[in-house]
Amino acid sequence: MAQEASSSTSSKTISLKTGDGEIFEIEASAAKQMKTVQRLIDDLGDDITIPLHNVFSKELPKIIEYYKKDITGEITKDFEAEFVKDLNDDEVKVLFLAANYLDANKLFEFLSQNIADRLESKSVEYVRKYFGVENDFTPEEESKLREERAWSFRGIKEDE
Amino acid sequence: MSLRSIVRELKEMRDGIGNTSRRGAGSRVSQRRTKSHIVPDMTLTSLEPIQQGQWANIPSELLLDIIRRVEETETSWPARAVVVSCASVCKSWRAVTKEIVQTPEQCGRLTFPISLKQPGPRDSPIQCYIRRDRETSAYLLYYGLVPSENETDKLLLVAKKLRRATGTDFIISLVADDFSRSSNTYVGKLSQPPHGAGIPPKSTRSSRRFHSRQVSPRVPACNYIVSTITYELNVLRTRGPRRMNCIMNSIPVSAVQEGGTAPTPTSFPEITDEHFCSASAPALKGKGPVGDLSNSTLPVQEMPVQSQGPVESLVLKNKSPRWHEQLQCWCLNFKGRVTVASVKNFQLVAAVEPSHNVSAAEQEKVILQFGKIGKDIFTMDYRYPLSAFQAFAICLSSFDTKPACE
Repeated sequence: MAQEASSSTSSKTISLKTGDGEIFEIEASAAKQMKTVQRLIDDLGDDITIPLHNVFSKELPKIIEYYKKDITGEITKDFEAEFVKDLNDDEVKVLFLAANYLDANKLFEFLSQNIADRLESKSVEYVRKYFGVENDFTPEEESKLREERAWSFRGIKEDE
Repeated sequence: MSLRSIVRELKEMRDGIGNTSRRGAGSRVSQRRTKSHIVPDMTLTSLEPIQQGQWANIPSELLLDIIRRVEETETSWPARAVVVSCASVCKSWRAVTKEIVQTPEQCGRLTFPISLKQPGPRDSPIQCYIRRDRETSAYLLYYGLVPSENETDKLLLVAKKLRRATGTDFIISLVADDFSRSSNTYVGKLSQPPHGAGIPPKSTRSSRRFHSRQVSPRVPACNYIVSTITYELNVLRTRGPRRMNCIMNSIPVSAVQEGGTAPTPTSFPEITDEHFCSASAPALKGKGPVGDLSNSTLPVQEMPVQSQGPVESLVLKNKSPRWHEQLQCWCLNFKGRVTVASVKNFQLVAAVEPSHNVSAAEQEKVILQFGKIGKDIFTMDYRYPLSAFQAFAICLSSFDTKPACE
């Protein structure tokens, strides 16, 4: 029930501009859930297009989708499961960082838990690859850590 | 005006001002993340967009959040192994993970191998079971109430029994296929002298000790005697309960006093020169000093600094069973955790004098309980101030105690 811009904020929409120059509309009440956006609105006014330099057109629609659902109070476990179902690991990461940047708490917590869940039963190599982290242990340290992992995974030594 | 205020807002976010929302009941209050990664170098003239490849340099606050969730979600084995994976990713991950994971005393959970050498929780025991494999002379300690059907229980420690001329040794290792003393998986051993070595029949007393691999900065690498356990048969020989006495050289009696703590190592020691000095701990009854801790080979950072001479060790003794006239047997209340009568079954409590000032509640606590539930299956429940390793070694001593003259 979007209306023409008026002085009432209840059904007002805010314009957001992504880092790659695209403009998206979001309801003011949804924007309120993203503290970064809200602060910019407080400072710049709600008639201006709010620039979001670190969020891009690929992920913003998904974020807007989440909060559209949120303001109607309809976020369920099923919705959340569906929301992440087709997201690959990279897409989840991008959304996670964007949610952090936007200070969108609910989405942030949800995605953080989702990433933690994706690590279930995963090996060290998998975790390193997922987070793009280099192994900076010395060969000596690494050999001790291998023993530690051998104990935690099966109680039997790994192959060297 | 607008650019300046945007800069100000983003600077405030970076400093975490106003970032104080709290989560609802049931979840820990996690450290609020700051926005320090957003605008590393703020100038009034430009706003640099963050590169998309920032994931590799994820701010530690966000990392903490994810790893904390992993640790809180995967509380039971085998899933908990992923916490160990997180601690192996790289140095900063290891630091974060180690910061998050609590000791078994604090949270009742075992996470890293070193958890096996840390005291259990104070209030309720960690429950394990031991499976004896007669074919390989191995004893396997698992985490869990009883063996699970699909055999997915977490293996904690394995002991191998070796008969030597000098007696019987149980070598204790983290893995089932390596008992070499020079290996990183070697944890310690239990030594038992040969039986019947000139001991008079009436008061058959056999003593055994167990060692742990420890290193002191001042003393060359050697086996440190963790405990000395003695068994004494009563006049009824095998028909009656034995008396057990464990002098815990590594735990001071203050551990069970008000406000006391027990040594909590945070890492396994390095092996330098593997040369054995037999630290002779005479089989005392536990009264009086049993070791000079200022010269001890305990991990220095954990033991309280002793400025004045020796410290009294904690002694554990077994609770005496009661004779049940109707059932015609000796009974202990194992609270359902032991179901088969056996002379090996026992409950250990602290043996203290009134002068030790240990509360009645502490004295009542069963620190270690061991007993049979089936052919070659035994339960082992332990709590503070014992660690899993110490508890396991004490239980192993119960296995090989044929009296000399039987």
